[in-house]
Amino acid sequence: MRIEIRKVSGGYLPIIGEIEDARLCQLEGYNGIGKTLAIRVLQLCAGDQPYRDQPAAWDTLVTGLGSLDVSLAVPDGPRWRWQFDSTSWGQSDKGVAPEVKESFFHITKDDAPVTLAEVQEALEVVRIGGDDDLVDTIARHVDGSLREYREWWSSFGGGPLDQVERRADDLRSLLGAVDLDAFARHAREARHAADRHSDAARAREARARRSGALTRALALDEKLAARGRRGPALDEEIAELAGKLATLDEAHELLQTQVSRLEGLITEGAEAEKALTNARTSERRERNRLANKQREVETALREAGIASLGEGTEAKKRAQGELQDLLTRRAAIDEAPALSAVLDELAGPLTGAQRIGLGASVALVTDDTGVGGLTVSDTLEGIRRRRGQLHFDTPDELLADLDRRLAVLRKRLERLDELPSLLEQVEADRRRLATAERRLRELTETADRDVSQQLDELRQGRNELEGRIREAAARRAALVDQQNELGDDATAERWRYERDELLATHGVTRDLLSDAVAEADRDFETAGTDLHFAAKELDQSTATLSGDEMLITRIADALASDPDLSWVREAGVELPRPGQDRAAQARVLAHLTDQFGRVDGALSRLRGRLEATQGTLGAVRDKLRGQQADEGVVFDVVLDWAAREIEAWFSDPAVRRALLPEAESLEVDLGDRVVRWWEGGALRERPLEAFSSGEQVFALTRARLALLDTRQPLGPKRQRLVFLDEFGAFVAENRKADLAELLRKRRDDRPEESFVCVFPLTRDYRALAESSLPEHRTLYGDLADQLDNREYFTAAFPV
Amino acid sequence: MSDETSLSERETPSVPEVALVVSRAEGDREELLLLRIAEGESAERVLRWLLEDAN
Repeated sequence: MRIEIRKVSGGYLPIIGEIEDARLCQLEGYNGIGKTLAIRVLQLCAGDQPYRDQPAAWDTLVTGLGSLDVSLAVPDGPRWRWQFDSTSWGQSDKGVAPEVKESFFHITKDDAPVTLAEVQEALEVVRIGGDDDLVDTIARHVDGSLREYREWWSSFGGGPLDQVERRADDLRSLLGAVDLDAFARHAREARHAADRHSDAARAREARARRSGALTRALALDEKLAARGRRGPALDEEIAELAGKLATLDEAHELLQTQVSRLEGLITEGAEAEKALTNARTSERRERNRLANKQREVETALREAGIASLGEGTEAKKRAQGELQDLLTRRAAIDEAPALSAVLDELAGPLTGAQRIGLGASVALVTDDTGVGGLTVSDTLEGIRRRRGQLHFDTPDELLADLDRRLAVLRKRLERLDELPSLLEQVEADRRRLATAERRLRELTETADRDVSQQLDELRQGRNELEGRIREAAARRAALVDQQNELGDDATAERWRYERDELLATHGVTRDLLSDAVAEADRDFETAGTDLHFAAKELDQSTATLSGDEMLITRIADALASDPDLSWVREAGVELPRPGQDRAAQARVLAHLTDQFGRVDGALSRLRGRLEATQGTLGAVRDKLRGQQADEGVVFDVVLDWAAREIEAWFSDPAVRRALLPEAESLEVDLGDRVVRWWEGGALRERPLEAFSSGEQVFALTRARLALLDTRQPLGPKRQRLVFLDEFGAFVAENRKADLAELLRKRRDDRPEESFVCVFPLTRDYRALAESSLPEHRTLYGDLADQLDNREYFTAAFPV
Repeated sequence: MSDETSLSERETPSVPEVALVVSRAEGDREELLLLRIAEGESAERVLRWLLEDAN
């Protein structure tokens, strides 16, 4: 293992620069050149804090070390490298040096960046001081245990234990949702409120009965008194009213008869009035229709060009003749161009025939005899005449005039055709008008306007009479009611009996009845108020209890089905059943709460004790160093554990031989800071501080090396570099060979473990080289050269 | 693992000896509780065991 420490900048503290082979070597040099400082720096690089209890030394290191570049090369393994500036590490705070942090270094492994945790996993740097006595050794062991424990507790307390506690929280918070003691109290209060409400309701019912009975008795008493005062006069008035009503009924019947008759007349009159109105409307409509028709006839005569229908026949003949003439003329005009073309076409061949001498030949036969006919010349002449008659250029004005005259004639003929029918319609309209006028006349003569007025008067009289009848009937009904109220003699006797019974039942005399009724009413009112408050209290307590019951139901449901609480269901404990009586559910929940309290208690105790152990390890360490320590609940247990650990060291025969060769059995008491043992039948005792001679240092070193084996196991991926420092003053020269043998054996057994034994310079190696035998002269000369060059040397241990 | 497994049969690679001593001082059940949790037994199984024990 090759170590290089190179100063980059700053810093005033001296430090050695190189250890060429640290597998098992001796480093010897002058005092004050930085041998121990190099060890401390390597411990820091490996993540350990050797200055934990030395704040002043730490502060000096921070300011005096400066910027360094440290490397450690493992044979056939990686090359670790740390670059840092100690001034960035920060001073101690309140007497405590800070723990090593990731930010202290830039670390690489074979030039690749790595974390401090990776270094801690792969590399361990241990310093065993020759100046440490037994107390220091034990304290360091406890301190190491504390660091390991702190790391474990951090992961355990915040990991699996925390997970268990969180899961337990599910049930704790569920069961804590309802206060079962409060539920029991609320249930009692609800029952009491229900009892008070029933009592109040019964009291009010009794008051109501008494008040009702006395009120009834008072009413009967008053009716009996009223009957005594008004009975006879009332009978007389009713009889009088009965007679009056009979008279009124007769008068009403008479009026009603008259009204009915007149209403019949009115009905008829109304119908006649309606018919008259209809007749007037009909007469007016027929008259208008006749006038319109007559205007239509006059227009037709005018358009036909005649004064009366008598001229119609002659006028029609004339018009038809004119029309035929005009139509012929119109047709001739239309056929002239075509006929001319035909005649021209015929004239051509006939002219040719005439030229060749056929003019006298017959061209057309004009009768059945075949004798008469037209010659070619005659025919040609006829064609020429006809051709001369035809007009080719008829002016447009002439054609328009012909068309207009044709239209006039056609209209006239239409009107002449319509006239007989129009005149027949006029006659029919005239007949209907005459009928309408006759009907109107008849109806006008029969109308009678006095009946309505008479009927109105009769109705008014009848209505007044009905009002009087109603008044008299209402009065009679009121009197009959009063008569019923006052009762007859038998009724009065029954009333009297009932009143006396009621008075006797309720212990009231007639003379005090009014006061008793008032008092009973007040009592009834008071009972009503009591019942109101009892009902309110019952509502409140029922609502509170209902809230509790809902919570209990929710908890029972969750315990029955919540997947997160399956462990509760699987534990075989009794659980509230859904649908079970609430009180029974509450009892089961109370039992479950007790059971869970024990679970909770076990978890709390475990956490409490493990948490306390961390502080207690520190307290035990402090106590071993003679410092004041806070003793917690597990102090004695931890102190005893530490004592058993130390006793185990003494079980190593080599340690026992060196420290207590005559001891038969041994006990370490860290409380009293002594070791006790039996020797020759006598119990002996020695303070821990007394184990500090050179022989004992060797034994302690052996014990401390043995302790290293209890740490994390070494292997291809974990190296350990052990410095045995400051041994020169304590290890006798003659025990160096024993120490070398011990270390060689460890080195051979543990390939991942390397040792550097550090000594102060004790000999003049230049003089030794000059006076030694030849086989040693080279070695000593080389060591002397190293000392000359860098004030220390490294060589295989022991030199 | 049954609840009746003796403590000596259990492996405790990650639990510091002092933690075992402290919990054992409270009783075997406490030490067993620590071991069950440290060995990575599920929270539900640990709690079920505790609740069965409390029943």
